[in-house]
Amino acid sequence: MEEDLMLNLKKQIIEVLNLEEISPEDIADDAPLFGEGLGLDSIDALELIVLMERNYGIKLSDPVQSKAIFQSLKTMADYIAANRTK
Amino acid sequence: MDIYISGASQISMQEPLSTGWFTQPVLYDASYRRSVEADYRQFIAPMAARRMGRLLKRAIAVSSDALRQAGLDMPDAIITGTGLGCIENTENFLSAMTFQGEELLQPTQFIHSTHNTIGAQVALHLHCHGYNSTFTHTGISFESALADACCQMQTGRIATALVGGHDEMTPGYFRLLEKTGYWKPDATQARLRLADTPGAMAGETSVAMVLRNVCSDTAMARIAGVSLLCKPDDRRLTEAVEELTQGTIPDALMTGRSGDCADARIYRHISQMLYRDRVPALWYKHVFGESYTASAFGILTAALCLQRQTVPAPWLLRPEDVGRLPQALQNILCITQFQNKVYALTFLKSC
Amino acid sequence: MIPEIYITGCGICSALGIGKKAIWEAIGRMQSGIGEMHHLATAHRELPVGEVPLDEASLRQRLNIPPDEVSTRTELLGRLALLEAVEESGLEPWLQRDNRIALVSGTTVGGMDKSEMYFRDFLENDTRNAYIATHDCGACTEMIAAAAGHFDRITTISTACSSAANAILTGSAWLRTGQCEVAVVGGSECITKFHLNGFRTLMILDEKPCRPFDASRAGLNLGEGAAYLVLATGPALEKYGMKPLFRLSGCGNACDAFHQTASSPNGEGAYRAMREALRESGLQPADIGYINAHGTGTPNNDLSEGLAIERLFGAVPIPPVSSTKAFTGHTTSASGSIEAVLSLMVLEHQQIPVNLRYTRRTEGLSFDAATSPQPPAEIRHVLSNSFGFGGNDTSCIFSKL
Repeated sequence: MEEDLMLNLKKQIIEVLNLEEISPEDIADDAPLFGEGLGLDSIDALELIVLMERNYGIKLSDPVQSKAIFQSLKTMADYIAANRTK
Repeated sequence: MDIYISGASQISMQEPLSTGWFTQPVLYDASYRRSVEADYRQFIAPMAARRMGRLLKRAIAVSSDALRQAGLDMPDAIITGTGLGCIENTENFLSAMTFQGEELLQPTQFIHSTHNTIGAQVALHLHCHGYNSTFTHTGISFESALADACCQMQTGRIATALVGGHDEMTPGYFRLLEKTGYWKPDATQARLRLADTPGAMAGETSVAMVLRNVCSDTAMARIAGVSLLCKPDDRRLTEAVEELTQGTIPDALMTGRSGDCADARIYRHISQMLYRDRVPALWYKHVFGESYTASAFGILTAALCLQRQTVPAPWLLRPEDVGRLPQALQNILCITQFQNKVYALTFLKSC
Repeated sequence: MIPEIYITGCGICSALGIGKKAIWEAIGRMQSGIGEMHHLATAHRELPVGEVPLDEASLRQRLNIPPDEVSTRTELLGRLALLEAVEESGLEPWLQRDNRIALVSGTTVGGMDKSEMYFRDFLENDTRNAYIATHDCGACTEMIAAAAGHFDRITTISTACSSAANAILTGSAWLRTGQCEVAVVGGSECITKFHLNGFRTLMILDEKPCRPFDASRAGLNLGEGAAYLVLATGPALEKYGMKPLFRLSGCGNACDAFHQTASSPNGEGAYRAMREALRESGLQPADIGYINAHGTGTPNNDLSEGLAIERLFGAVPIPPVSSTKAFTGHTTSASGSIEAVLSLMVLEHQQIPVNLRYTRRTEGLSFDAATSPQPPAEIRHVLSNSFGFGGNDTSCIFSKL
């Protein structure tokens, strides 16, 4: 279940952020999504907030709180597993 | 003040980032052609390109190519003309808002929907902190940008400028404009030349020009002046042309004829009124199609004519005019108008 | 020799009211125009906004628009402000052929209010085709212009929230290079669902009335309105019998080139724009008596702008700074000219529009926003900032004669 969520999430991130040159295997579970690591930026963070609501029914209104959740793929998946409504 | 076009590049329905079209353009029989895309990977890193729509990628590619030709790394200014801005993103956001409601909208679509996204993304790409502005006024958007560059050079604010004309035409927006009679159904080259029915052929524009206030090896043509006019009558138009050309009769008139019958009547009148039809008329919209900034192609083509000292046959509205062109081309007057409301005159001289 | 540029009249409308008088009185009463939403048909009614207090029917009635004529809200607001400006300057009778009078107008939404209202019709039927041609920004400027009279030269600028400030800059460049004798400059913008939702996706809208520069600030409120200024050089004053009221001393334009929507942490573009405006004016930081800040109320803008102001002034004491967006909301493309007109009223009345809802200084800044209307010294020059998405930063300096 957890594995499935991680893989789906990777695919969704690649799609919504247009990471055409990246495949799910390229995203390490623990690597940082922002800055070094995957190199995402603040606009990506806003897109991820939309993704969380659309795909998992999770509303994030505080960009600071979101930062902690979007630290790595694992932190994101953990938060989804604990808070998802769909 | 002397201002020179020192480098220029284009992406359109012709071969991208090339001037092969100058002597051998592909002439389409079509109501709507989109641009032939270039290979953008040589200009933009994939991470930077992933959010960009076509229009932004094209703008960065033609800007980089024009700067390279001009041998300039960093312009003092980036000045953009665009009639509709990033209309694809605008449409996407508007469509999502209309059909899915006001939730879960995508920030990127909005961020990249404004007119100045083009100039901003070019500035970001070049890390250019200089003067940056965007003009968006229908068919004179590009000339407004060009006129601004000339003004800012004259007042000494800048010495070089990257001036762009950028418009995309999405299938959605094509259909909307089609409803207003903007396009010629089943447009053919013959029909466009005849211009006896309403409508034009739709195209897309991405043109970048590098302007410098000194002449260099790469200079293509000198911009003697740009004039913008609002609803001029014959007297005002004549006066503006006299001021600009200082009474010189130009070697050729580059007209913005689109193939639309009303539009053709206006250019016929201008040519008759100004020069009793004795100056050879050139055109370009049968090669590049119509778009708000298509007139940038007219100026680009005229600059190439002056640089290479030749007017290839495809640009002559009447093939028989070839004999009326002088051996040495000294100047070309480019004239464009939009629905008889706004006019722009650009007077180019050979270097 | 660069000719001096005079301001001979101006006009304005915003959430504070229609016309300079009403607006200056509201500012004197410290009465904000930000409040409940009345006119915009959106699902996000809970967001506070600064709407011009007239619906479309009242605006059309006020402007005597015949029933069969199409209009957009940006156009109507623009017409109101333009009429006041040409009337005050005495330019009205001269707006006809043979006079070299230009119009430079800034907008980004253009006819979007109608496009978003009728988008479905555009796609599905032919009932609203008349509004397809009113969508673009140039059409909007032409509609605003046509109502006032004949302009010899006209164009439109769209650099997001600095559009109207760049219209001022471009108009002054046209005058300085002899492209026209008089330049009417400014901008107009109505609130649309399109940009309200856009700003919402960026999570920069405050659900409470905005608090520019305050430590607790949490975003901006959208506003709407329009303003125009009449600029002329010396010879034109005589020709058209206009009286100079103020001077436009200089403008600066620079690009932050940092991010599509966010300001750089050190406000590089803002600093360069202000420095360039000073250079063009031939003034020193110490000459500036008041700064009308861009001050949107977002955590990012106000800190970045504040740091740029500190850098510009260095050891020189910073004059009173306030953001009038706590009164008007962020009027986006029109904000540059709306705040230019407010700056002129500051020069005229020697009173500072206080920075409403300011209680606590922002960490990282060394100065407070102005909370007293009394200036410490005579204000001879005002610096007005307008910064837009894409890092399009522009500053203008207005001066007493």
